[in-house]
Amino acid sequence: MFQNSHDYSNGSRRHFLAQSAFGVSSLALATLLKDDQLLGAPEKPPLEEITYDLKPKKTTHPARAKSMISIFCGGGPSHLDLFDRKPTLDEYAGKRFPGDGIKYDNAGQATSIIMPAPDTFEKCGESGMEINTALLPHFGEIVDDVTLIRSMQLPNIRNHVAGMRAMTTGRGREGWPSLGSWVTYGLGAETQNLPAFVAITIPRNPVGSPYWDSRQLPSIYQGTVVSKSEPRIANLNPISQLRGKPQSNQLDLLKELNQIHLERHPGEDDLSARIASYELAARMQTAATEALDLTKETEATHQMYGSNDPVTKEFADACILARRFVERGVRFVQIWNYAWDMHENIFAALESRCRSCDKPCAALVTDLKQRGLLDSTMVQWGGEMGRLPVVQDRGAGKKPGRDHNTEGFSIWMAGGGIKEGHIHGATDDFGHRAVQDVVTQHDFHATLLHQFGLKADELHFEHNAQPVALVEPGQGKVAEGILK
Amino acid sequence: MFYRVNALLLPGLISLFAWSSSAPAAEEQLTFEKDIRPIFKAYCFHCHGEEKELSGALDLRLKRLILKGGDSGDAISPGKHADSLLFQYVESGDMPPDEKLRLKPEEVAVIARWIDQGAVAGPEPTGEVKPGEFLMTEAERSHWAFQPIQKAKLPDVARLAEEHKSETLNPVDVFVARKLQAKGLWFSEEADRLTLIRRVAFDLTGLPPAPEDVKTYLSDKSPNAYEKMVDRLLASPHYGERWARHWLDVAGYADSEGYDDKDVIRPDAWHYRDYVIRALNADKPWDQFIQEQLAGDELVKATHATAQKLVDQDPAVCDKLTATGFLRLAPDGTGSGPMDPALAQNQVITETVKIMSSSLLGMTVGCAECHHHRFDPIPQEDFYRLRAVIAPVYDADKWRKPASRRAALMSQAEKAKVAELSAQVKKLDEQHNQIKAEVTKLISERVLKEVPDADRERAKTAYDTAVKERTAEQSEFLKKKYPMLDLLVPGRLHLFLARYKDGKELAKRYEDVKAEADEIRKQIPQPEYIRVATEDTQHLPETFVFYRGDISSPESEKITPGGLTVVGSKAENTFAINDPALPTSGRRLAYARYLTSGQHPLVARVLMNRFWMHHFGQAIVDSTGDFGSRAATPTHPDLLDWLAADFMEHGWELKRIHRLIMTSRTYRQTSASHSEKAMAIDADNRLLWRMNLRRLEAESIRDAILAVSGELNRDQFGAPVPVSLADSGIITVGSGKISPDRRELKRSIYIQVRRTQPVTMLNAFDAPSMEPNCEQRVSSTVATQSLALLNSEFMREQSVAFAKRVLATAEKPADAANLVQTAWKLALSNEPSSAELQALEKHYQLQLQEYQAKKVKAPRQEALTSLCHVLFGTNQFLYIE
Repeated sequence: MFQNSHDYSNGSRRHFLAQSAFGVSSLALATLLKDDQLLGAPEKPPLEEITYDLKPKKTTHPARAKSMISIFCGGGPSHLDLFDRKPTLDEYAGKRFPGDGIKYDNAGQATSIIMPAPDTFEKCGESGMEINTALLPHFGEIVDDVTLIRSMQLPNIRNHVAGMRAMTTGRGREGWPSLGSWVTYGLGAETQNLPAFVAITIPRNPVGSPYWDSRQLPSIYQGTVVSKSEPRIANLNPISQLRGKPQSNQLDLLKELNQIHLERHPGEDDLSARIASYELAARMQTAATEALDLTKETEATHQMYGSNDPVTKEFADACILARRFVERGVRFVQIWNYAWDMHENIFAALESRCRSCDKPCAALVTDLKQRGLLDSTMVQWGGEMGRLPVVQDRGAGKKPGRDHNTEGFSIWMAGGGIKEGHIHGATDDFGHRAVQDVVTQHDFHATLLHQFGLKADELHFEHNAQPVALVEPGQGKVAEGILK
Repeated sequence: MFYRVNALLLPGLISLFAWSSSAPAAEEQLTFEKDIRPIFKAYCFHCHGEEKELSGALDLRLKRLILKGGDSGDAISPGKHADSLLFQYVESGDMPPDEKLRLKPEEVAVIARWIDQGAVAGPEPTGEVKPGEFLMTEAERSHWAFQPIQKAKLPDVARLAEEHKSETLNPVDVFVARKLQAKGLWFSEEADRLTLIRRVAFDLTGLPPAPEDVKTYLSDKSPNAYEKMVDRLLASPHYGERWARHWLDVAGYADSEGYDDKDVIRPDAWHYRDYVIRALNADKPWDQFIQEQLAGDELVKATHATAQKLVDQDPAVCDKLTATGFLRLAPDGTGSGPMDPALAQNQVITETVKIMSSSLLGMTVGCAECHHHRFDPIPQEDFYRLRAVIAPVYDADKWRKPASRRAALMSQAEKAKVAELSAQVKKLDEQHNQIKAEVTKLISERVLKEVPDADRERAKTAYDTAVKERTAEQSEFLKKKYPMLDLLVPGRLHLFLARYKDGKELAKRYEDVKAEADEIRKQIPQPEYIRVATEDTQHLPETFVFYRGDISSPESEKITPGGLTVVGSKAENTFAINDPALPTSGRRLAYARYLTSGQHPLVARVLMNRFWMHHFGQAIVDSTGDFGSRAATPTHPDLLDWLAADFMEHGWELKRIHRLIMTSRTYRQTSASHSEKAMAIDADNRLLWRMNLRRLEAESIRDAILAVSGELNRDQFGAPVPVSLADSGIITVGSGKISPDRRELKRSIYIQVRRTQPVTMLNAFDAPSMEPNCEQRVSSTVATQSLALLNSEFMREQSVAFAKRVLATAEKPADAANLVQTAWKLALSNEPSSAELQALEKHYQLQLQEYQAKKVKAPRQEALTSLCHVLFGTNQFLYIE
């Protein structure tokens, strides 16, 4: 491959820019828009090299998943109270934690008194997965479709920002491309009419820099934010003065002027690519507006997700949107809900949080399954940490909470070739530290990439002539135990 | 037709370990050095020779070592490839063990042929060769980029001489013409004047030409009108802003520290940015420019202890110290409480080495942080030689956080006020601490009351003992049984107070004093600071190679400061540990002088190659940051060398080079020329048979829109314009409103570069992410750019302003044709063709009808706004011909 770079009779950077262009090169476009007969040019031979565009890419091995919906519950949902029942906590209730190594984030309120979980755990489904059904009744009904990973761990990470960064970029340090960017870079997009990577925020952005940033990768791999209020996608819709006919008049004029200009510069691929990119933008406006229109969904669907109920509406809308995006070929959707940091009054807080999201999230899995999309769509639910087995005391009159715990926590996954009704890994008797089949963020990422048909050790790009990878060689291993 | 991709930018899945080979003819004699070693270096040396531990006791670095074989026996049987273990292993894929490293079939075939031919090698070094030692071959040393820069005699190109008769030939043209002629090609005709002034204006200032400048140029009938126009633009104060941007990319300029999500703002970095703009405007010779940036402090004999005093005494010193901001551009998380300070410190140093090497040496020295370079003759030691050059600034033993690496700019009167108020604050702070300690004591008594009687006395004794003086048993007792007591110190007092009813009242006791202190604190004049790189003279750190880049595994041998060993010899480019003539170590000054001596083969070539790229849209060596063995072959090596040599001979003055390049026939060609023949021979225009069409860079797009709308605030320099993040995820300049000083409308170079918050509009058009620097931008064409151009607030605001300007400028504002013509001319400098004019008028009328029907307030203005908006999005606006 590289010998070409030594031969300048044909190859060049310029050509690279024009032909393998980022996003809407003439070549990419010729392939993409062939069906639509937008360009009459014959299809050119496919590139062997992987380039910065959104064309569908070859995988290194057969992919089990085509798309992913990640429901990111930032703040640290308490694994102990939701997913990981520990009888030892009941035994030690009110006594001191006998072990050591607890790292408190909030030292002034730290105690070492064990706080048991609610006694509302039940075995569910045929798999008999034990979860807190008082808080997660709907999840209880889909446990036979999911793998519950009880052994997540983020080495050397303590706080939220570093944790969310680790879960989304592999590193606690700021400055690296996010998971969705990696996946769309590695696989391209299934549709060119919608952004390949979408981030839906409920109700506010998580703290820290955007977790959907493409960083050193070109901005086509950046997550497009869908926010709760208008404009839901930035720059998607024309300002009021241009809505409708005025903007289509503008596009007509643009096309005409650009065409005249192109005639003076025949064969300049970048110029025709830009003409096409305006057409694509126009189609994106239509396609995204359609995708965002939830009135197209049936009443039964709204019922199922709970979008008629103010308690569940935000999550329900986000989950339906996620499904609509995936149905339309979006590669990676991440729902962000930074609302799970429960330092005090944890049981009431958990109840209220779970009530808002349990039904919609379970409905999402069921709905995807009914529509035959679950096989090719990985769904993942979880945050960047769990919580400690001991009481966090915020003082007189304050009900207890739990402090951060990145040593051990739980997430669940479904679809895309992930085992059904399966539990993976375990924490110690106090639910403090993952001890069996530990899954770090690197293992998690390697596993996701594996399901997408990509090898974590190979996926990389070059920045300033040096390789950058999501998972550095040898750092993460595929969690084979959770794969079908 | 195959589409070939630049190695540097190629993100291919298997691009890590690629290897260049050309299949030699069957009878050609293969040699170890030429044909085999590069394959082994890329795939095998890592385990078989370049690490201290030899895998399988097999060393593949020399033929005689290969013949010794390893644990598994003989590696090769010369003459019989099928019997050779080495061949069997690589052919079956058992070696290399890493699956993603597979030799290509043609590489395996080369190895087989080499063995069959008897495994021939040239003369090899004698004596013991220890595993882990780096062996550099003659072939590697003779790579073109490491050879001295030669100014070749200008070739004779008869046709060119004939066409230009009496004129002096421009050397640029001579070299380009020779290449063109060799391929049966020739120059295109000269572009028209409007195209030329637009091209020159954007190239030199990043802005469209002002209407008056266009007029002056068009009406100038003198034979050197073009040269005068170039000179006028070279003298523009905007020149420095444009060319500073290019340098700030490779230097990695940012207004925030990066590293973690706090991404702490660097309030003081901008002085360096302004220094660069001023230096370029003044045409400061680049040898001096480089010396100041690497060692400005040493030039003025400043140390960490004396820098402030020198700044106070002499403003001229200030400039030199500001220049050292170059060494302070890498992300620096050491001031924001990193998890692992040692790692964070190391990161600053390694990233600085990477910036120094990719900006000035054009070599990927960063690879050698952990191991010998896989492709280039850069031993791991080289990375640490460069590290040793800057080690006295970034002394890991005496680390200074960003806040203590700066010098204040302040007047005497201000200083006196600072002293007075600081004294008052100090007094109050002491009072505050005392009260706080008393309250802490009070709280501890309450907590102790809650402790069971049996433990109370013991807990009290332990608690009353100062934290550092507690016995292990006492600390353990508190930690395990009464963590609250363990944690109760004045610093955490506020967390405890919430537990008590009278907490607020207790807090008030000391908080009031603090409020008073804070009030005075606010009145203390805040100086502006410059970020500087200075050395402590009391301590000289030692540098060691870190085994595999791991800071906890230093090797035993001390590393001396120096340049790349492949360039010249160590005798020439190893510097003194400590220069007795200077108060500082003198390492950086020695290094800077060595780089700018005129003898260094890389520096001037690397710079010139980038200058060329900024003029032509493509470089002579495509891989601008990699001149090593994987580098692209130069399209015009003689020209690159000639220019580099000429640059150095004539005092490293860049403006002179601009003039030389821009007055060439090569540069003045049209880009709109098409020739079937030329396309068939050189479709990519590598030989420059016409000018390249180039898309404007992100900053130029924004600046040009502002210039045309009339909104551009041309104020220069100063603190960066802040950016802000909206709920929609868009990052904008300013926070939505235009301030009275209109700073939001300044040129893009003055916008805050926040690593975590790239301005959406600029980012969409490929403004780089500084991680840590960007040695070559990409130029993309994506739908998000179109959406931003069609629908963003910024475009709307500027279109409205532009329409107002058109109405105010047009001679006949009531005449539609005159309006649209005026708009076109303001945006694009030239006149619309009749087809274009027709399309414009039609649009204006259509929109007018539309808005009249909708009964909007000012339909004409709205229709004109729409038209102005479209002009900003046309290819004619976004591309330079």
